[in-house]
Amino acid sequence: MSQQTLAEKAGVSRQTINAIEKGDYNPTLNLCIDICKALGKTLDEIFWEGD
Amino acid sequence: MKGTKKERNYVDVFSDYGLDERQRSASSNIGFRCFRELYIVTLIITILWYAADCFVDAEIPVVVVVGSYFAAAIVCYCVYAVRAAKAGVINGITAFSFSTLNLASAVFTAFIALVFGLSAAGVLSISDKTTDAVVIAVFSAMLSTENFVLFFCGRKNKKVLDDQNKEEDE
Repeated sequence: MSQQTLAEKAGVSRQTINAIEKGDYNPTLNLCIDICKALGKTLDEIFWEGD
Repeated sequence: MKGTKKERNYVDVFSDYGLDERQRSASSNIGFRCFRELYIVTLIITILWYAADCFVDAEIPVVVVVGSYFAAAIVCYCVYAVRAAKAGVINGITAFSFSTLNLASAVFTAFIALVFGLSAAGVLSISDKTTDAVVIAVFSAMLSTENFVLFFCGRKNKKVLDDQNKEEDE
């Protein structure tokens, strides 16, 4: 899925998705949930850092 | 796209219309920094301008303009302090310094500031600088009022934080 598509599904701008991926912005919990719903994944699968 | 956007007929550079959470947060941070810088610059310029006016014996309209800018800076500072106190977001160090005085100390501090200002105004009025005397009296009254406002803001901030902690403990 492209950044643009994910941004549209999550209700934010593409720049915000890019900033999240680069680590320049920490999304709110609500946005994290919206991103997970858009990708069909759980919070752990997307946002949990590996050990 | 979730939600619906309200239609607006007019937006300007300060509007957050169409911005998402990251953009709105960045915009708010920028606005806050600009407000703080505007307040500091306005305060410094008005104080320096007034000091210069005292030496050149400026016209009354000029003094009124300078006084108005000074009043606007003080009012903006007080409005910000009141709103921040109601939200409980005055930083800890500042809130502590505002609120550690009891009411008697706050009254005494404000009274001293007012007496000093009126004394200076009295001296100037004797030397036939009536306009400057009035301005000094008004300035000292504004600073005394600001002192009171900040005192109550510190207390309000503490109360809001205490109430929030009480809700969490219940």
